[in-house]
Amino acid sequence: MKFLHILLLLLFYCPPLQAQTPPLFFSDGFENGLGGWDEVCDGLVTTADAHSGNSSLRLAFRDFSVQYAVHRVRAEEQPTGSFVFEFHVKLVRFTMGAVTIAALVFPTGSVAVVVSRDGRVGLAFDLFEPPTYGMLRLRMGEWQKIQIHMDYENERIRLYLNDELALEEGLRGRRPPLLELWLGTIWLGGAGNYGMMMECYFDDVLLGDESLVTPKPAITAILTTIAIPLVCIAAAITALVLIAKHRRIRRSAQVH
Amino acid sequence: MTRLKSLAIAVLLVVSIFAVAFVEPVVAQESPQEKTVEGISYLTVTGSLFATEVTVTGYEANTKTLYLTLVFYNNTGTDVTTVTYNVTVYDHSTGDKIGTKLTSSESWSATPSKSYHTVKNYAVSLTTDLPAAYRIVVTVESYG
Repeated sequence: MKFLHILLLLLFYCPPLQAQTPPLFFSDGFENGLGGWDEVCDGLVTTADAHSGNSSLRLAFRDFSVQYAVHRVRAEEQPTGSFVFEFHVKLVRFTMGAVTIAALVFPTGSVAVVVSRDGRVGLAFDLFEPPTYGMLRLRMGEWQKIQIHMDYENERIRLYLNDELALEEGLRGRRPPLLELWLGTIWLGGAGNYGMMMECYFDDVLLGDESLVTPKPAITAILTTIAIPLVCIAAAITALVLIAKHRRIRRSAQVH
Repeated sequence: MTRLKSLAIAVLLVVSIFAVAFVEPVVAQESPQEKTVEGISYLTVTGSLFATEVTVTGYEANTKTLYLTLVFYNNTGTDVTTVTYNVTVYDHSTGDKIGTKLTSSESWSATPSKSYHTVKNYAVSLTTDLPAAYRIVVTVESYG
């Protein structure tokens, strides 16, 4: 009996898995103030709200028309290839038709994450160029996870909201070196009718490699893989039933 | 006929599902740029050639650039081909000058029959972030 016990233990013994931490080029959870940020406008660290830990960055209109925190990416923080910029945001209030909530600045221009008045998330590449919005909506007043995946291998920029693909765009020449990481408003007015941040919180900012992205299957993929075959089968069954019914009616008409 | 009907229903079902499943991302409608961002602007008119409309069309925080659309009105009664004007931006609360730009001899199409001349997205670099309240002064220096 004891031998069986040991045998079972040996069979089902699994060594505890070591938690794999993805390589990070930059990270800040605002637990030690704003030291990681080069310029802050209308922003402060608050303990009133946080996604994790005790504190977060609060951007809110006070003295300026723009509210932001910017981190200039140092040489040792430069991503070597494709990378992901991740942050958690709690957007409470903003003015006008939309707002830029974050951006990556390259020598050739910026990639900005925008949120429309109805909460749709999207990407914008220039102040005077209309933004493109996806179908996913950011829930106002709740902590949400946003990721920008710069995929240089496939030449795509992917925007994820809570691990779900919200939008995919071409690179538009936005190649390294990465100059700045922006949280908050980078643009006002313009083609997107961007406004100010009246109240917004940021936490757990990460700049890392592609392993940060763990996407959920998109709703379109679910529809393609499950719903479409199911409906096709249902349509075929309906068609067969209708044909059989038609034949039965014809046969009964012939008998009479 | 009935067979055709049922076939049509089946095809319609499949087509409608494909239409729902492959939804393209929505491209936002271009917003009218006439809408200004927040701020305060005053218009003081002196002389017979002046800016009749000063609209903030955008602001870029990373370059600290303010974009304006300026509409000039020519009330001189003479043909104007060139104009020199100066745009200065002030912090409204401190009164400090935070940006200025002089444009000289810009070719102009305004004639007595066509009195208005529009300059779109005129860029002014600021020395500080755009304050909550600011004042924009457009001065026509000379024309000919």
